[in-house]
Amino acid sequence: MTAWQTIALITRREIRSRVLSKAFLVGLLVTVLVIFGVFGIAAAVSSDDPIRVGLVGQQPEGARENLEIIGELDETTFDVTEFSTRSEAELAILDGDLDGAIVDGKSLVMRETDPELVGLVTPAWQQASLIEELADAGLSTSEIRTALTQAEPLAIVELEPDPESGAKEAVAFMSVILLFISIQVAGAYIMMGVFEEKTTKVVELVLSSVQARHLLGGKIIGVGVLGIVQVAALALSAIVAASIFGSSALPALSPVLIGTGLIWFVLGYLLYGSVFAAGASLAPRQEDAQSTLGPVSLILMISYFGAIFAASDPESTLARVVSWLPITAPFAMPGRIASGDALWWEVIGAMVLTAATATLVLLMAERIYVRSIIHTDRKLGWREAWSLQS
Amino acid sequence: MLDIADLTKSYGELLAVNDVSLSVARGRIVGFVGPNGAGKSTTMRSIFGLVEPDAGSIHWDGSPVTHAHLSRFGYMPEQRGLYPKMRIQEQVAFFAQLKGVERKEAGRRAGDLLDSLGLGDRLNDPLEKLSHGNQQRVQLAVSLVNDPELLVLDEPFNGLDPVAVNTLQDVLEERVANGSGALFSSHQLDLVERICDEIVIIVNGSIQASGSVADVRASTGQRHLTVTVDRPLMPLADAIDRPLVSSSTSEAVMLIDSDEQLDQVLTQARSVGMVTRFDYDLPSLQEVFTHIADDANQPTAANEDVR
Repeated sequence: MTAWQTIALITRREIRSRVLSKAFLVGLLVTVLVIFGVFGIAAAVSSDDPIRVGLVGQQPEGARENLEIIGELDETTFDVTEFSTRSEAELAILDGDLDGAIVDGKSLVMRETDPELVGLVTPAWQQASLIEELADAGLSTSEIRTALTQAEPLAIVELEPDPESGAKEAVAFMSVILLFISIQVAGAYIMMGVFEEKTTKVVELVLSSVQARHLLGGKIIGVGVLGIVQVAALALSAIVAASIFGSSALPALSPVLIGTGLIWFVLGYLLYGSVFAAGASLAPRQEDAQSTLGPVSLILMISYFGAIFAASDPESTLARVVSWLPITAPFAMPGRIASGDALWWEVIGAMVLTAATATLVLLMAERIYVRSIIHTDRKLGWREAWSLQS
Repeated sequence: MLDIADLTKSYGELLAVNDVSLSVARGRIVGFVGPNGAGKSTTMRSIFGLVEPDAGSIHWDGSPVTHAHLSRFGYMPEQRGLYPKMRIQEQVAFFAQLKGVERKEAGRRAGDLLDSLGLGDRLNDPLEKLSHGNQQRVQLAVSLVNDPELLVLDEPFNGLDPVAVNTLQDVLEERVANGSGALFSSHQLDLVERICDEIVIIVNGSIQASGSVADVRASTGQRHLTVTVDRPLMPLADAIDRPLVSSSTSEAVMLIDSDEQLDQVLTQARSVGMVTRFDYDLPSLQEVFTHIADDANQPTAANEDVR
């Protein structure tokens, strides 16, 4: 038996036992459903429901036609109903059957001020009224039309045109959250796996044929493979959900983001997972683990909030710092990549730095794990385990 | 053949194992006997590298035991433990694979072995669904599944019902008849006496006696004496000035240490009545063990006795 054959056996057992467990499958399913839910809700909120406008009394000529033209320009449809009295229209508004009513071409009645409605309706009526006023002043209709078409609106000049900035920000947040969840879940799996072996004492039997480092290696690889599958599944469901619901976030879910996201998962997982493994190896019982791993969980949470904070303001100094810092980079940098604010050399540099840190931490964790896993009788401290005889 | 030589291991101040030497030849069953905490488990765990000894050596067939040898050994730890949610056939096969048995062969062997241990209809049950006794059988299957050349069983009879004890005894004898060596520890001296070819007694980390059952029973130099008198003038016990194992008016049973004592007891018995029985034999293993353990717990006496 070579070392790799041994590691492969451990890896295989680890994957089989997790994949077949209900917790893993249910967890994955729930996350996929949540992703579909998020895109579904976003699509529903920004849906193309027609704006329902009521008309009461006399309206300026052409106002209604103007509304149709504005609606076409704005990709909005209007559902126009005529009411015979103002009170009927007001009742419909209060019942929620109507978004607003225009009374006698003079007032716009709404439940409360709706800027979108005001912005769309006002120009239609103003222009119509203007034409009526000018006609009253003696100008012919054709003169008025000519004058109006010559009066060009202000030309729009964009310095940094980015029609998807909102979508990018949303994808950035989602990347941070999903990577955090994936790394935390994988870390928890590692921790539970090490625990299970230590508390059931099966580790004594395993170590009577296998070296501790191979057991640790097989476990880390096994859970890591599952984690990669999970992250890939989440990315895929995000893409599928975005295309089904026609989300504007679709272009932001680029292969670059997903590819680097997978790399960041692996780096973050190695960094945190190995610490969780070492911590779990110190504690013979679940209760002992709380105190041993408490500080690690705290660091993980703080890193997460730092990354979320950075995602909300990706160009800030804080965002730059946390996207370079190895303990936060695996969550923070993907956010900056998604929002398009990270330069390629920053990404590579942070990856190298995190990989180097993860390697160092992994080696330290291995030392602790190998020395402490066999002591199933008592709780060890980090420092005590570090200096134990192997 | 397993050779442990001059093994020493201490944990801080505590000397767990002190200069322990023992061997287990192929085809032999060696019983490892001693009170709790005497160093049995430490010695057994060091065979598998689970304990790093401070001094001493462990050889198998003349070469130092390394990780490569472990696939040829089978082990049942004192702290039983398996994967609770793993199906038992898959579990036994997994441990066989860790010992280098090819996957299909491992599955087949695991099935056969569990079947022979009476678990043939539970192969796809997770371990945690089994009773405590049946979990012990799975544990035994794990230790046997690689057809080990050396079996090391730490308190294998603990927690077994009488039927399982007989099964385990049969399995051990069958494996040893096929050329394996076996080392097992136990508190149950009657079992040890019945099963073992050789015995090693360890107390406080040091070996106090070892050899065949007969050798060990002779090792203290004591004799187990039974005296009976006819028509006693007074209770026999009153006439004999030695501690007695048991007595009645006309019979006394005791352990004696020398020929002088033997002669003395005969004279004293004759003063009570006609001696109708005066027979001695080697003490039982239980008596030898008690004697050794008591001596070892009185340091000065132990030193005189052992060296």
